[in-house]
Amino acid sequence: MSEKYSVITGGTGYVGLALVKYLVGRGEKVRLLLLEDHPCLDGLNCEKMFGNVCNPEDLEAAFEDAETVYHIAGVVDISGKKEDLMWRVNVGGTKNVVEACKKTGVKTLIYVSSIDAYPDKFCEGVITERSTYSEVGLESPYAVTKALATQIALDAKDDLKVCCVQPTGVIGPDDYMGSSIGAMVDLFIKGLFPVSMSFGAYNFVDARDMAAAMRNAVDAGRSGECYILGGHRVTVDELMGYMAAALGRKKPRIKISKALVKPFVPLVSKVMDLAHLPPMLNSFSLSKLEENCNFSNEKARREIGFSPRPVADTIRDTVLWHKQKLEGAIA
Amino acid sequence: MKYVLFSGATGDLGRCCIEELVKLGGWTVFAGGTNQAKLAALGELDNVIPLTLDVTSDESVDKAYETVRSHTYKLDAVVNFAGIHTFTSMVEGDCVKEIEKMLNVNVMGMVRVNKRFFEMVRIGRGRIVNCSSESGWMTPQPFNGPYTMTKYAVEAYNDSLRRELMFLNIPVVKLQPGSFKTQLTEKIYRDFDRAIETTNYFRKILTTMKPMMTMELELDHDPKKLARKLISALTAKHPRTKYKVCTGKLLMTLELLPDKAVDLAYKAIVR
Repeated sequence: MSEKYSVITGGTGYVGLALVKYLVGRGEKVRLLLLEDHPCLDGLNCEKMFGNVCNPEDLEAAFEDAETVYHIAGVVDISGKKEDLMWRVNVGGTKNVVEACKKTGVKTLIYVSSIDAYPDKFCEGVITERSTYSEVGLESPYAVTKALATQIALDAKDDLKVCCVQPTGVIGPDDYMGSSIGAMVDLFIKGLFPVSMSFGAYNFVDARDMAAAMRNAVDAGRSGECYILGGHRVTVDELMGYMAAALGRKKPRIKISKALVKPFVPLVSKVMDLAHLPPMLNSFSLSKLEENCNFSNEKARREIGFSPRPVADTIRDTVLWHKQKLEGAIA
Repeated sequence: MKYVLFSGATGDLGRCCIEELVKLGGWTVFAGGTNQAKLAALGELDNVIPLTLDVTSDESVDKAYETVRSHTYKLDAVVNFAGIHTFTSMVEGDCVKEIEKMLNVNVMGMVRVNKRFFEMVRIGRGRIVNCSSESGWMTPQPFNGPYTMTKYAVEAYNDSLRRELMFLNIPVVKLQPGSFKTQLTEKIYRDFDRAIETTNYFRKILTTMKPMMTMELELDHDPKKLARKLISALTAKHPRTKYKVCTGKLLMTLELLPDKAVDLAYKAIVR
């Protein structure tokens, strides 16, 4: 067991918290670089430092005595309201992390990229890892920032070991930061999502499976390589079915078509905005449901032992966590 | 802070526009050109980053791209000012080479720069401004054919680019300035005098035309008028497709007449 630290940026998010729990569970020395403390970290045996990935000094201080850095901190903005911040954190922050790793002699950097960095959404067939990433062909600003940041990380492969993991739609329990899918689960539990949709599918991965694969990548991953962490393709209707089963309910019988949903998207997205809910349904999320989500996880399975659990288990754990949260059992 | 790349920044019009834009505030200008002394002078302005940019060379454009990219991933605008002028007959002298050279700077230079920086403009949700000329829409005057050819090509290029990039919500705007007294003016006089000396057939015509041309070139329009239009093109929420500036009144009047009548007018003046 290494005496040196594993440092995690973005430790309170979906992926971050799952990784913290996994590493702490293995008895590793974990240090978190956080913007602020969060009760979800209570009771976890890890060192906390406070700082911002946009400040190189904070990173250098956090990476002192570190052997491995997991760079997870990022901003996801599909509403267009935090675009500047997204650029500063996703691209500028990753650049700072890479430089700080080089300066402090970090041996391994695991960067959490995204499946959005792939411009293949309109193509058919299986999507596999690329060797280089750029903004070409990418539409959403989030996708562009992730692609550029991925390339920045990969460019450092000669100075340290760099592996990028590219999760599809991350779900799982411990959604303390309030994700879009978590907001949808909340509505479903409250009975405010009584219909299903007859179209759309997405690929989901369990944050806990990701955590294990990321730790494996430190030992078994190859420098300069990306690994798609794709779990299972699930249609919206199947997702509804799994959620209903987890709650012991019947699946919504009414399935609405895309033609019926589309005209109401601007209205629904406005209402969610006014209600301060995460943007669950907007034109961006609707288009995501129709993209090619046929991602191959073959390379991750083969090289870093990625092993996604059955999607029904993930959705059950997710729904039960949200149910507990709504019942007040989770702060 | 907004980012804009200029080609032809070292020209008199380019420099004036950059000065006005910088005065406006909120813009960082990448000033591309080939004249090192003038680039150094531009570098003394606040928020101006001078860079060598020869629009006829893929290598130079690539190098400029790397420089810009080291400062920013996004561009709010690309302004294509790079252009040259030659006054030459279409049948005498070394006109083929002259035309090739001018097409390479005025048209292909624009194509090269816009192609290379397109992704930066796209992700910056920026816009492209191409400098055409009043020669881009007027019927050419005699001996001004090559320049007019390039500006007609710029018009066609600009309009097709606009109709392509409108699907990506990238505005493409053309400027159509009239005559301005710039460093090009002196060259036009020199070319004209050379043409008078070397022509076999058009000495009388060229000599008679010289005062007319001088009248047009010496109008001495204020380049700040062009700068103001450019700033509109860069800052308007919905920019127009074209901005005309200081269009020559005499030439514009000729445009109203039938072609044959204008041809006869030119003949009558020379007679």
